[in-house]
Amino acid sequence: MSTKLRNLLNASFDRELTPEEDTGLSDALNDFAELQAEKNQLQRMRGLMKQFQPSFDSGFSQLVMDRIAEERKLKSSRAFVIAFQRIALPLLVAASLVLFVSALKSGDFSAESIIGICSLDMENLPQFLLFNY
Amino acid sequence: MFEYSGVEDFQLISRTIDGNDNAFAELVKRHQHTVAKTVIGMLGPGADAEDVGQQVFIRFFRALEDFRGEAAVSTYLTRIAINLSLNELKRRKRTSQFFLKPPDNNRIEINMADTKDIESETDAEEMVNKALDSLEPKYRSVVVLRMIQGYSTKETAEMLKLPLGTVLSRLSRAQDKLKQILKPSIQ
Repeated sequence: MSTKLRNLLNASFDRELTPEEDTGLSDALNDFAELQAEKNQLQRMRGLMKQFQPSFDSGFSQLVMDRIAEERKLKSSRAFVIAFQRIALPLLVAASLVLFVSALKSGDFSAESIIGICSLDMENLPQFLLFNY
Repeated sequence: MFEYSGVEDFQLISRTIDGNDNAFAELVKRHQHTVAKTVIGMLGPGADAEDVGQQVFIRFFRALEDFRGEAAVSTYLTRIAINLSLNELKRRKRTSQFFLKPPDNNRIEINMADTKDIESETDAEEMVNKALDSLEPKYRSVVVLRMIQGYSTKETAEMLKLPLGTVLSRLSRAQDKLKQILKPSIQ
């Protein structure tokens, strides 16, 4: 049996044959029992492949949903961080600008002028904090 | 648990996007067998396949808002499954080269001489697993999509981003090899 016929038989399962190919194959199947037997084998083989019905373990969908729950948590915490950055950073920039403009107007860039705290000795710090705050 | 039997896939997707995880659970339930056929067909049964199967659904979940419905959900999932499976096979190959031993991919070894008839679904599954394991990944993927999942040759070519001629050629060679391996069962 020729390779060409065998190839045609293989191809007949996966593409449409031209009318000439179709006629040629039909005639060959009638003439050669070996070719017909091969066709039967290929049909059985393909049937066997279709019987392949594996499945995941029984807990599969629960494991997927557990991972989805983790994904959702990650998404929310990322969203929170992004929102925080979007609010906090502009506020920080705004506050810095206000302090800078204020210091510029007064012409005094000392810590006392900017944040309103007198110069301190470190040893006086506890009393300062206790009485003022 | 809500009953979703009459609800279409795209409605389940909308509900999932709105925060309803039960809707996504229903999608997993509906399509896990499709994903299993692809992933286990490509990788063999075992922990790797289970993990890749989960990753298929995680990827799908992450991409839900971009899903336009141009393909059916099962086709979309199968595409993800094939790609992740091929990545896993590449990873296994790198690992086996590094450790200089073949990876254990859980394919069952069967003495073909002892197996004459297929008596049960388990036998059929074992036969097919062994046969698939004998194929290189590039042949295995066309066999899984065309012969196991039942996609047309054209759909298989589109999913694998291959020319139609290449798919036909690979199917022909894979078929010859499968016939040799499965001969005792199909004669």
